[in-house]
Amino acid sequence: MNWYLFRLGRACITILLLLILAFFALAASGDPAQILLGPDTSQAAIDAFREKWGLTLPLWQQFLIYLNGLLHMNFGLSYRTGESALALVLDRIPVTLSLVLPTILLSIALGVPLGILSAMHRGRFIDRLAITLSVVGLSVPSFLLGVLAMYLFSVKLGWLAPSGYVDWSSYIMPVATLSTVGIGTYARFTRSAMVEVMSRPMIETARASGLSEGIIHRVHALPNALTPLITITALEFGHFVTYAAVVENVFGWQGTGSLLIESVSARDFAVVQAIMIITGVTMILANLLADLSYGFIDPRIADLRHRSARRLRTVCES
Amino acid sequence: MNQSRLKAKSLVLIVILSAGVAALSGNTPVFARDLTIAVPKNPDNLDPATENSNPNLRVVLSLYDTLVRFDYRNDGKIVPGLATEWKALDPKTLEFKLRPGVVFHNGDTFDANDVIATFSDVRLGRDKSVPTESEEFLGGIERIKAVDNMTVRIHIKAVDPIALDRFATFPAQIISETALKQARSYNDFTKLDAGSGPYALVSHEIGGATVLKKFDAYWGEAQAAADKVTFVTVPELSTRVAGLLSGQFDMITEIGTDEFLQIEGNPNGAVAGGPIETLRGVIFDSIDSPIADPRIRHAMNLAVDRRALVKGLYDGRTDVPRGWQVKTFGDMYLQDRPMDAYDPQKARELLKEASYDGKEIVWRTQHNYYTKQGETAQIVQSMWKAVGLNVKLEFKENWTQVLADTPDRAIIDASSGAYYPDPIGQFWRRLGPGGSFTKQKFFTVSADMAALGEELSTSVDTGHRRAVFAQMLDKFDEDPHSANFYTAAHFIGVRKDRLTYRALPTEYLDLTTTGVSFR
Repeated sequence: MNWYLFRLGRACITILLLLILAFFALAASGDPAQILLGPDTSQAAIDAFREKWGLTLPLWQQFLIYLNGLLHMNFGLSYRTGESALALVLDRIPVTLSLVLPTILLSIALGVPLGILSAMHRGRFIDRLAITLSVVGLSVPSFLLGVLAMYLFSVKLGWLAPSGYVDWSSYIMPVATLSTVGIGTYARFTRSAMVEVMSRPMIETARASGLSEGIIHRVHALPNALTPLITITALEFGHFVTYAAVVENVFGWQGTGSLLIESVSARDFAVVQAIMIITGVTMILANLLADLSYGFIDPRIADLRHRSARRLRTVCES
Repeated sequence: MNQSRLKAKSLVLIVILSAGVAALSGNTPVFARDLTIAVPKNPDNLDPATENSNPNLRVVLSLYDTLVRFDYRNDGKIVPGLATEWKALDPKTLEFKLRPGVVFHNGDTFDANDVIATFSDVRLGRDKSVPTESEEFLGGIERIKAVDNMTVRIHIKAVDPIALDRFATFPAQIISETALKQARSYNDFTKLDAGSGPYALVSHEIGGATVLKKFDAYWGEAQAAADKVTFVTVPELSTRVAGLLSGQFDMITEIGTDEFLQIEGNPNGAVAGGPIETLRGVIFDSIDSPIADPRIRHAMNLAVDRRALVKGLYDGRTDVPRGWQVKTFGDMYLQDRPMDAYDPQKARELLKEASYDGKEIVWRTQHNYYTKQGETAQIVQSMWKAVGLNVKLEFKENWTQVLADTPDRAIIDASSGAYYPDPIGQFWRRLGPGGSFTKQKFFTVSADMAALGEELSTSVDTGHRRAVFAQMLDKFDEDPHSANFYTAAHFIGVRKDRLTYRALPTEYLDLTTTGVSFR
């Protein structure tokens, strides 16, 4: 329990630091009034905007007001629209999730088997091909891949609508574009984990006991290689949200990623902060879930945690 | 049994594959008179007084009317709008006879109260808790009075030669008084359709699509051309182009010359548009920078080959301006004035005369706030380098960084729209003592220039005003606080198998029957 409370406390401090850094970095690099109203606007309009949104107050005071609002679950209003920042973000989350969740599933569904296949044929042609494909998937920028896919499937072949949601086929290009990174990542990590497990003495023992290679891989190697994959999934969730910003922009999807880009360039503080808090909390929860699941998947980890806690109690009592 | 199961499975597979292929090959059916327009951004607010932006201008002409209008296709002449007649009762009073039988989209009938609500204090920026952009344009209104239900009298504070023009465009679009009164707050009002234009609002999703439909009760001769218009937000230019060429969109805005070849090379693609009433150039910091000497700034102006810029960057599809003016100035356009000269030899001589010693001159620019901004900066920098000027480009992220008044500030990019087809609406608005650049300490306006500006702003004698304007431009050439490079242009990609589009020389989109013709 103490371990989880420690993790939670650390997560809260991380979010607070994130907020402070983001607020002051954004404020220091641009005045929302000037950026939003543009260069061809009168000083009177700029002054009125600053007055209305409290931008004439010292920065530390603006931050404290914001923080106070946050403690009362008030995320503030968007400078651009006057709407609740939280409502604007929540409105966009389903769009991003509708891209990110299929991407994670597709990445696991293709990346893990590719990694296993690669590990099973270590050093051979299939392995080299799989590694090359993974590196290509990881290296090609999402926006480039997106634009190329659009040129081929929309302009040349006329199969898919390039922008926004038209029907289910609209998911194909953005999800495929996002997944190339995920497939590459999963394939590489699965391969490494499998290769590491396959070199353990227990695999030699299994072979010596006459088990087939298929059973050895499925029953002995894969479950042991799963733990690092859970860590990767938790981390990849955050990465996918980041990549989604680029992909949403390229394919004209109105998700949190494109909202973040708009809001950062407009210095719409409340919206940027709301996205950061929600993304931060999601990342922390994803990592907590991953931590929790280790214990279920690998009883040795649960046992280790129990023993550490017992040792701590003993030290405290003595 | 096994065989029949196999057959059943095959059948299911065929059905699924067929459905997939059908879904892949067919996008949503396109109705003959529906229009889908991809724009980089939709407006955050629909109230013209609140948002002065290109996204807003794309939509407002369809939603709102003004008392009078500029006929952009007829030298910008003023024609009736929601007012059928008007007259100046004295130099400071305008009287408008209002058009009977006009209905707003909310069902309200148009009368004098709507005009009074449009120019009420809250919409003129006089209520400081409601920031609007009106004060600069309509701040001269002193009071407004209803003579009767269909006649209004507007009193202005000082004689203003463009007083009537101010009621023809942004932000003087007429709103429904009922809409303003019924809105819970002004912020709520900014999201409403309070207009009487050829299209009514169906939905406005912030950051998403804005959907309009034909307003059947519209009073005007030029009716809505489409039954439904959907403005889709597509920030990425390559996606807009792909959407146009694949048939997802009928029109796309904000295309660059790099896309001309791809669009015009497609049998269904065409490019509409051209120069608009905006000048693109730079503003000089003439007060405390290495270019404080007017001879250096004059040399900078002489060193720019504007024709080469227009040809290289715009494929020759925009203009080199004749000084600080655009063609829609009408009677105030000085047709005989030469284009800004390109004379590198004279530029070198002036620099020598000014004893310019190669001191670094910082030009703060951005990559893509304006079309071709980065490219323009790099080409002009090389033109300046060719005459011996040491100009350093600094790419900034936003306007706060560009405008910061630090000792290294010397040149910044600028775009100057002619809100009114008159030097007061462009040249003097930007470079006069009331302009933002003066307030941001880029330059000071000399006493004799200020006196000429006063004459330009208060005289109603066109001949005299023309002479004064010419004098001002001559003076400006000797001590320039800016350099204009070319007339900005707005290009629109069009699906020519579906429609033809006649663009206006402004940022407005004309989606009525005078602008759009379906095939």
